[in-house]
Amino acid sequence: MRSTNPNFMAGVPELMILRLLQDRPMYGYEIVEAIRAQTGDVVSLGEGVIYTVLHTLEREGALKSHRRTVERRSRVYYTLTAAGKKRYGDLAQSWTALAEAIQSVIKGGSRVPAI
Amino acid sequence: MSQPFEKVREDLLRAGIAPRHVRRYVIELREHLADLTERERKAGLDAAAASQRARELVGTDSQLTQAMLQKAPRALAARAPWAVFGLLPLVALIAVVAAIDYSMFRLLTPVNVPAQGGVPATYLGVIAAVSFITSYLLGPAIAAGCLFISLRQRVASLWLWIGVAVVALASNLFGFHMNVQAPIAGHPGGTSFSALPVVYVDGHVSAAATLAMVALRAVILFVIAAVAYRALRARFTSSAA
Repeated sequence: MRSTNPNFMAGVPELMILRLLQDRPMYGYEIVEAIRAQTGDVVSLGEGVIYTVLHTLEREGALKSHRRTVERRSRVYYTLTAAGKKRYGDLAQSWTALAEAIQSVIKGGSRVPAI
Repeated sequence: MSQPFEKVREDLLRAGIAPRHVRRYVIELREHLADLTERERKAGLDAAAASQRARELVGTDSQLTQAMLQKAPRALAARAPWAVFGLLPLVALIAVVAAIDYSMFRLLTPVNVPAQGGVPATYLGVIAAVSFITSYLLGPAIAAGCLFISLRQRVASLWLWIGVAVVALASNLFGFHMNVQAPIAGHPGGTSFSALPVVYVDGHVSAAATLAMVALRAVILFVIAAVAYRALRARFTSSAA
């Protein structure tokens, strides 16, 4: 199982899952593949561990799941709920602000407002 | 050969994770493994190499178990075995017996008066059936429920056996009992109903005989439960959650 920069990864899987599910319902394997493809393999989540994140998000009301048979394979699809959309909005805002702040520090720029 | 992630399933159940969460997790892991194996085969690996590569990508049993343990909720039977095995069966038994007794006494009181010649024959079938259910089926059914929960959730708690012992005793003590006293010299005999069992000796109610009967039946039920548990334990461990 691969993991990417574990010290910087807190909250990243959740953010990416919520973002991907904004577009369409997906199942676990699809989500892992999509993250790998969209980040150019820079971010690769633990293949099996993604399910614990999905289940936690579902328990917290951010996702809904349903079983669907596609090409004779039964799969659990995850869909974003209204609460999940709001959660994504909040998370994305925090991450954007954090990324800008870090960029600013790296580039040696001026003070940035608190997040 | 065992199915993939059997060890993960067993370890999670033994750690007290609710079976429905474990089942779902393992099913999704197996589906994921099948997708990865297919992908690796398409990439050119032979079946054995693709399977091995896919298994490595999903993660070790230990990683998968730890990830779930950090996030999934524990089952109530693991968090509070005293409630699930000790309290709940007794409360259920008392509630069912109280409901049955209330219904039966309401049904029988208007007809079971000496002036009307006792209980009409049409009621006797119902009475015998209800008496049989409370005397012979209710206790074993509740004890079986406790065993099933314990086996399914891999909970080996002393509370299970305390609960089974209490149910074995209480189910033989409280119920709906039809007490038939045969006519003997000086006693006309008759039929009566009670929530507690009654054993007649020489035309008189015998507390000692009644208690001996209750204790004997309770021991028999407890022993049957213990034997069934032992026989089923291996089967549950090797079957799917």
